[in-house]
Amino acid sequence: MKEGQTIQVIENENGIIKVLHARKSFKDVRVLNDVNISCNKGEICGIIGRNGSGKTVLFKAICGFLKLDEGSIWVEGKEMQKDIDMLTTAGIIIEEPSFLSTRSGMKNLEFLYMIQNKKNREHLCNIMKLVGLNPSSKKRVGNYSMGMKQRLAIAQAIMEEQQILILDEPMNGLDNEGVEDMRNLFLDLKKQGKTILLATHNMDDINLLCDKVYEIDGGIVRQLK
Amino acid sequence: MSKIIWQIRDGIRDFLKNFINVRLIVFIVLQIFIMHVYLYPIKKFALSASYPVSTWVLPFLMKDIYFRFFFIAGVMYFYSKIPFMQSDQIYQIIRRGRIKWALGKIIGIILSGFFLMLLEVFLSAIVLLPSVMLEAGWGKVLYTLALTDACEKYHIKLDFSYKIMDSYTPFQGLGVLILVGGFVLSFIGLFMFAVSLYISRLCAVVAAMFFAVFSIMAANISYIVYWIELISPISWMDINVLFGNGNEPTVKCVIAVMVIVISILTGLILIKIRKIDFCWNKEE
Repeated sequence: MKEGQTIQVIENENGIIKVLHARKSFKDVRVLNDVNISCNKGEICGIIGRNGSGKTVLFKAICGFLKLDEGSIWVEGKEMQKDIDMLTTAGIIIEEPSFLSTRSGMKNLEFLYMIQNKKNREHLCNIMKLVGLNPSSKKRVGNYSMGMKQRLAIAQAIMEEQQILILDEPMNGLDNEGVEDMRNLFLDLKKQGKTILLATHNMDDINLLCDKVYEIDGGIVRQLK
Repeated sequence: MSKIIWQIRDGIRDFLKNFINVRLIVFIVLQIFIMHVYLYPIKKFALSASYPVSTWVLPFLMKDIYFRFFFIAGVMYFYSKIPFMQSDQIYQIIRRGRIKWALGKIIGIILSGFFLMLLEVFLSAIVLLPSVMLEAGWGKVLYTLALTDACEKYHIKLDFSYKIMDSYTPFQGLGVLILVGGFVLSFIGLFMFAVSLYISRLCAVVAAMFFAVFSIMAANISYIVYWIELISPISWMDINVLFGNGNEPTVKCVIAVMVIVISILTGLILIKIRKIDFCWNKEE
């Protein structure tokens, strides 16, 4: 499909997440250059690209952490920065997972869960077990391995049962078994009708999980699948 | 109404989760050290007189410009997490949204200001242990230091004003000091928050440090230009200024000014927070 046709299709699509003509620069460096993507409900959309290609910037803009210089982002029919200023209805993993390092994984989840006035210890225990962590462990997050932090990050992303998940390299630091578990988890979530935007380096993740694939390079996006 | 209650509860919860941290422990250690330097001679005097000191020395400690300087430097260190761009905030911001997150942090800064003042009262009593006593009045030791040359004899660097002891109870003195001090610390925190958002974190620290240094400079030249000392809010933590003889701003005036300034800073922070790009850094 030619680029002009792709953009036309995206504009006409009924995507739950739509990025249209997004441009973003930091000082003189253009990181996103007329980016257009669309992700439909219940799909897993993959974004691949090298380090520094602009994946994280794009994800941060979709979440509302960064403002676009030009273009627009639409999530569930609402325009980011106009109708909403932050995507509070999504589960996210952005950058390296970071938590309150002096508290246990469970305490961290409870604290984050409580922000939206929710309290259900049993549910959080199940979520921790689902990602392969021990809910009764008193181990501080500061002493967690990278893989355990990543599992905890996935737990916090899915615990509120949000319909949209924005996951920036969620398999980072996981061992083979962990990767396999998480792939199955994401496929389960997809079956439940959740929409997942997934950035990854791993082509296996792309082939096994994604319905739609975009490649980003030098801030320019093209659709591969 | 329920949204406001939720916001306040969320701010308090966030404050309780974050108030006790490594910075607070360093602040406490530094304050204990500095207080020990100032209060050790008083303790020595109390031991030689075989009579304990009352727990109300903080208003007189705060009269000392150098003590205030070290106190404010400690507070600035405590507030150095501002503007809260540590990566552990990502998951909190996405759940709260920009404005609610910023309001939570503002509530946290204000509560921290008052708690740090209360902590300072507690620490000043701890440092005097074991020669300390809880009593309703200023106590014999403080009266003796105010009325005799014991300060000179025991190399006590603090100025105990009999006029203040005679006119006000310790509860009035401490109450006003905690109230005004809490507002002043809130002002410093919010000022640092606003400057970090509008300019940079480094500028925020430098600008806040300027207030602390300015209060020393102003105190030294105030005999030439009387009003100059009163410009810095840090000078307002001096009980002599608060309970002055008419030329100084009154407590009501100081609180009114602080409330106005804090409201303006809150407004500026909320305006800016809607527009900024969040750039995270790791906790240093």
